[in-house]
Amino acid sequence: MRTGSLRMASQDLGVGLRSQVRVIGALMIREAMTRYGHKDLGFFWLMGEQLILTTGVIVMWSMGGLEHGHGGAGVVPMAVTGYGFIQLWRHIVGHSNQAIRHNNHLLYHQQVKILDILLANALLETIGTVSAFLIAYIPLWLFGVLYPIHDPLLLFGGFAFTGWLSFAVGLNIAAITELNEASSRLVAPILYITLPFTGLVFMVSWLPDQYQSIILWSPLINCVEMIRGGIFPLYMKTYFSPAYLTIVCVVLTAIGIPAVQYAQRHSHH
Amino acid sequence: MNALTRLRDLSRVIAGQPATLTRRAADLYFEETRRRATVIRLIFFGLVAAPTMVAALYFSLWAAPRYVSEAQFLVTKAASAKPTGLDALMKAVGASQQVDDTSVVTGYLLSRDAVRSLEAQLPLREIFSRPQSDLFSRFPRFGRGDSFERLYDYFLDRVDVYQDPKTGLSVLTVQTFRPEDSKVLADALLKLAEKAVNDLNKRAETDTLNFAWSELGRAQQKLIDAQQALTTFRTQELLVDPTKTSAAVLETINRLSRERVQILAQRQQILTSAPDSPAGKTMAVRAEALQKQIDQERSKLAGGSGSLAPSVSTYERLTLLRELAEKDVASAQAAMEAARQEAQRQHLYIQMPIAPNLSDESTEPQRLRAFAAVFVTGFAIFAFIWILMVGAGEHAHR
Repeated sequence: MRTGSLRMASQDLGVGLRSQVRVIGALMIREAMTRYGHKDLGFFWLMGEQLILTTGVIVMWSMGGLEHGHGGAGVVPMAVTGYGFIQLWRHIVGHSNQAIRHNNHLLYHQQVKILDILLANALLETIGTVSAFLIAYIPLWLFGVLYPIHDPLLLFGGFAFTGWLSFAVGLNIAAITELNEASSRLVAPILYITLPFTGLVFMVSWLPDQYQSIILWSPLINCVEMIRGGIFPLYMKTYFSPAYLTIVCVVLTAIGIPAVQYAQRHSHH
Repeated sequence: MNALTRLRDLSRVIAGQPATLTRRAADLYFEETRRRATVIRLIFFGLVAAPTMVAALYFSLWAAPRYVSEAQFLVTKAASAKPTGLDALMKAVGASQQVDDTSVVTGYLLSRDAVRSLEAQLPLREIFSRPQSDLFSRFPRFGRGDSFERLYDYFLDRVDVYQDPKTGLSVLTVQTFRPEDSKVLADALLKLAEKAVNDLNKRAETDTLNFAWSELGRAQQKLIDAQQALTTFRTQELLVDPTKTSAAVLETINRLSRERVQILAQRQQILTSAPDSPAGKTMAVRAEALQKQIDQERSKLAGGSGSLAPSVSTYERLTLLRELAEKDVASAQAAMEAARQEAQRQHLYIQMPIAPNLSDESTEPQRLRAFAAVFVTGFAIFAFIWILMVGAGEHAHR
């Protein structure tokens, strides 16, 4: 009797999971299509953007004769690792600004939950960014501008943590902006203010010791250092703590999920 | 408008067709989606599921444990000059001369030369293919040859040296299948590093000192030559020092002239007081004789074949040359001393604050980590292909 109901429950869970995977997959494709459309390159613009930026950076810096950058880290590796990371953060967080309101029409489907929409968006951004990174990385690596990947776990793990962190922050932002409309105006400025704490243009090892321990409280720094740790050679030290990142992400997600559900129930749209 | 008419046409066509045809169209569509799903599932299996399973099996059951021996060393100069200006700035941002000195050593440790020297003193191939090893981690690698190049390649996988930019310490790690092997290998590598540094020092020292030595020898030879020329001149001219001789002659001339002038003055006096005195005549004769003597002495100094003037000039030239040569020797000696000190100062030393350890537990391969790396990498590549396929697929349905 008990085993039977357990099997039933697990079957239910399997069916539920499978349908959720399908919903999220469909939402991802829909998201990609609405954002980039079917015209010309369409979806591949996601990767094109990164290639264009990287090429621009290479041209600009080599015109200035500054390819070698600071402390042995070339400008190109810094740009390639930093750009994908910062786009991921800004897109996911920016997208969750008033996400409940903007996706209201989708929520009439019984199977689609706001969480699915946000998750689909975060996944799409993460996969797109990693793909764009790989597409930019492979030719640059073949031309010897970039270091070979020496630890793929750190590289992809870093992107995954960036995606998760942005998703978790996005959940909270979606909830807050839904409950308080005025706060949605603050999201863009706050994203810009946090730029210096993202490690976009510097590495922790360049900083004096006393600032390193302070700046490492920023989870974003941990993410980008982890990404760089997978690519940069060992003598360019990177500092990050996956445990700290996990704690931050779990806590933010744990606050964010009920917050979003609460906001959805209490929104007036 | 156009779309509307087309839709109406289509619905008319569908309505006009027997039901089987519409069902076939729907079937076709479903079949295509199903096919795509199958392809994606296959790719997922090939890139994520299968590699992860294989990795799980390999790392949990088969992979041979490896033991890591780690040593840290510091490459320093005996006394480095205090950094100034730009150099100090470079030091502040982490790029300094010391890094270059270190990279010479670390570069050597990971070179073919080092592997060759190691092979001469240790059974390197045996160490890398101990019976404890497994098929995929031993040397020669599965399906590869056992040439020296392969050995070198394998060596690079097992031995790592890098410099920590913060502490300046170079970290050497060696992994083998036995803890003792790792330690022995690390010790041997550090000995090699020391030898490399000593060779480097010796070469730098001989380079700088050789130059100083040859400079000194040249200066000394010049001095000897100058002295020789002077001696030859002396024996030839039968003179020790023509300047002194000529001074003596001048002195004589002076004395004679003075005497003559005195006599002439006395004679004038006598002639005034007693014009016919015989003494006046004697005095005139004496003055005449003195004049003759003076002329003779003068001709000794200058003019004529046996005169002193040309030999004085030759002599002075020779003594000047000798003096210059003496100065040369002195400065070459000083340079030599400076070079010796500089070489001493530039001496590189290897200090070893952390000696190779004998590990008592295997830390490589990091099984869970390797497993996770396979999964994450496989998944990332799968996601990459999936998004390309979806992008391309949706693109086709415009």
